Amino acid sequence: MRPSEPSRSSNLFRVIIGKEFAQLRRDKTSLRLMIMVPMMQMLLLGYALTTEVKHTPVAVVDHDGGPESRSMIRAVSNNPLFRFRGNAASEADLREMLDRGTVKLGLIIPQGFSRQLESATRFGQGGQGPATLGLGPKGGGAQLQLLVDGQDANSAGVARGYLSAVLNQWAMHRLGARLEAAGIRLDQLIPLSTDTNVLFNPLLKSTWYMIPGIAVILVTMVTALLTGFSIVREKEAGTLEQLMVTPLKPIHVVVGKAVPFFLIGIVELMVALTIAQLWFHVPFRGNYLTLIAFCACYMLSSLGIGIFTSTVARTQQQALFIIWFFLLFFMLLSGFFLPVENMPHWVQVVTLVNPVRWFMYVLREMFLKGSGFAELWREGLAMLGIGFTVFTFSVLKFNRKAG
Amino acid sequence: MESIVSIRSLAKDHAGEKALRGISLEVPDPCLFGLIGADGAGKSTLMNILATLSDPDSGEVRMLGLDLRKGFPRIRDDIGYMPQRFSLYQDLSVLENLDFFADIFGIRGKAKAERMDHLLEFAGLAPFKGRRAGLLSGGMKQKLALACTLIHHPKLLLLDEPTVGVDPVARRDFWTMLKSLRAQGISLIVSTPYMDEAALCDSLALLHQGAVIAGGSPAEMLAAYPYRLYRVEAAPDARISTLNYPGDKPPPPGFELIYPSGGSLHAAEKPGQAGDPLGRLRLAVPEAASATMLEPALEDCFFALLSGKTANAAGGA
Repeated sequence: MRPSEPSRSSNLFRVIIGKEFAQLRRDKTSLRLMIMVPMMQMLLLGYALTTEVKHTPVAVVDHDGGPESRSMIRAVSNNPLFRFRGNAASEADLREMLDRGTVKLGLIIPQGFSRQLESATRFGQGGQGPATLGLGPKGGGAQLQLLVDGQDANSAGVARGYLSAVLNQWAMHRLGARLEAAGIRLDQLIPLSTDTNVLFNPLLKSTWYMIPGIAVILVTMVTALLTGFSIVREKEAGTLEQLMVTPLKPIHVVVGKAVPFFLIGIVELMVALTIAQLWFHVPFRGNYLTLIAFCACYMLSSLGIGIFTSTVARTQQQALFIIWFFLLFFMLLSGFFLPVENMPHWVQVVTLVNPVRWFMYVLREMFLKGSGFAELWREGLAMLGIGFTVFTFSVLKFNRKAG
Repeated sequence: MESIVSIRSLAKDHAGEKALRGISLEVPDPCLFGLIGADGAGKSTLMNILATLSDPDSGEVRMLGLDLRKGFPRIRDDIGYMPQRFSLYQDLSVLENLDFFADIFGIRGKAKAERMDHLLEFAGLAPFKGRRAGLLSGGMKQKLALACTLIHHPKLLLLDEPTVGVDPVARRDFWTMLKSLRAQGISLIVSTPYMDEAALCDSLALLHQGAVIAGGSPAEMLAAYPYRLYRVEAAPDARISTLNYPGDKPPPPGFELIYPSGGSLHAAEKPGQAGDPLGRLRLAVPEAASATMLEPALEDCFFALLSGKTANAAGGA
């Protein structure tokens, strides 16, 4: 008989882990990729992934040509939110620019705009406000027309809002000047002011929100893909078959493979955290050990996906496809780009089993609010529950004989 | 003495085809047992089952005194399996590969060091122990794979086409190793498509389309050869010195089969034929200049056995 079973079993885990590290050390290319690629992605995506709508190209058709219209165009063209593409000769011209995509917003100033504005301010002094900026006819006053490229509904809406705000501001400014001339102060007419105090992200930088999200994606990709590939590669090479003929049990192979990639996942997260703080100056206000604990709960799922994939896929290509399929869903439904609260109710229910969603939330909360177990224990339990289920299921599936 | 492997009516479907159709085999202990057959005959499917990697659909297998289905974890402790493909870690060194398998089987300390030294010596790999497995030649890879399957003193070795794609010198070395293991009392089941290797086995089974169509020792199989065999050659100064015979052309009158072999033709004459064989051969092969009587080799036995089988089933060898 062999030595006592438990000691032999724990030794077998160590044997696989040791072999895995020996192979990793050999594979300098992969090691370099594991660290370099996420770093580069982080640096690049940190700049690219922004929800801010900036530099929207705008063109104007000015049928009026008076001082008022020119003053208004200046207000738009001087604003850094827009990239002013100049005056279009006609509406047809403007439409063509929209068709070609060279502008996203078009502003049409009708003939007689200055005159209408003048008369409206004279007749409607006080209560009713200056020129209407609405798109439909609303009684007297000047009419402006806005053409919006609505393909990207979200940015279109935001840019349109910005333009309206700029125009309103211009109108208010003009009104203020008029009233002052008449001896009335505007802030007395509208005795309401808002004092906004933005918490956690005072400058409302979208990078502060996106960077933790990117970190989650990187950890997920690396752990799921590497684990899946590592097992499938042994399948391709025939070594898995060879291992199955030995007294090794599938659990030894699976856990032995998962442990090194678990550690790599933690390293990956730390690299991401470092870049976030030192390069992008996103403050991390949480506790590192708490973060590692949450990350451990989470990685049960991402490692589990890798293991599950390896039971289904026969080649690394198949593994890549399957993992990508899973991750695409998980990422899009995680709140990474689009807030989960904006999704239809039934989709929100579906996202409850999405581990990426939970870790995304946890990491963002920890980053900006410095939350810990006291605030996030529910999310931690959710990740642990999902992770345990995924991991156990994958290992059980692996347990059936290989091949 | 119980057989080391005993198979009864074993059947297995593979990819929708009947890979094994109820085969029965006895492998005595110890024995160097050869599984012979063309590609697709079912050799690898059988090897896979014996290696405890896949379950049979029906039938019974007893190995090392245990039932395969229930006893496979115990069986794994005592078998060594070498799959058709080289399946060691190419990025680990010779020594690391051996070390890894020693660890898996719980061999430690002094016993491990001794065993590894012995196997490196046995496989002739001692000078290359630091080299990565992926950088070894084909023959050396196979020797390393064999060494790794031997690390835990298995009682039975299963080798699936171990010498395919290996150069002739390395093949001969490899078989010398197998013979010496057999001499140490280890049983081996080796599948091979090479007839010269089959001749080195103690006992053989010929697999064809998932069935065992003949078995016995090489001597028994040669003795059972039913035909009179001729080597048919062209005249040495003939324009075409290498004779050929299309496989779909019927054999000459009085002959069971005729096939190319080593530059000449081998013709198997049916028993009880009268008259000049060369004259009858010339009816089909006008260039034939001589027909010399010949002792059959194993290859001729298998051609004879397979010709009887392919008559009623399409395809085959």
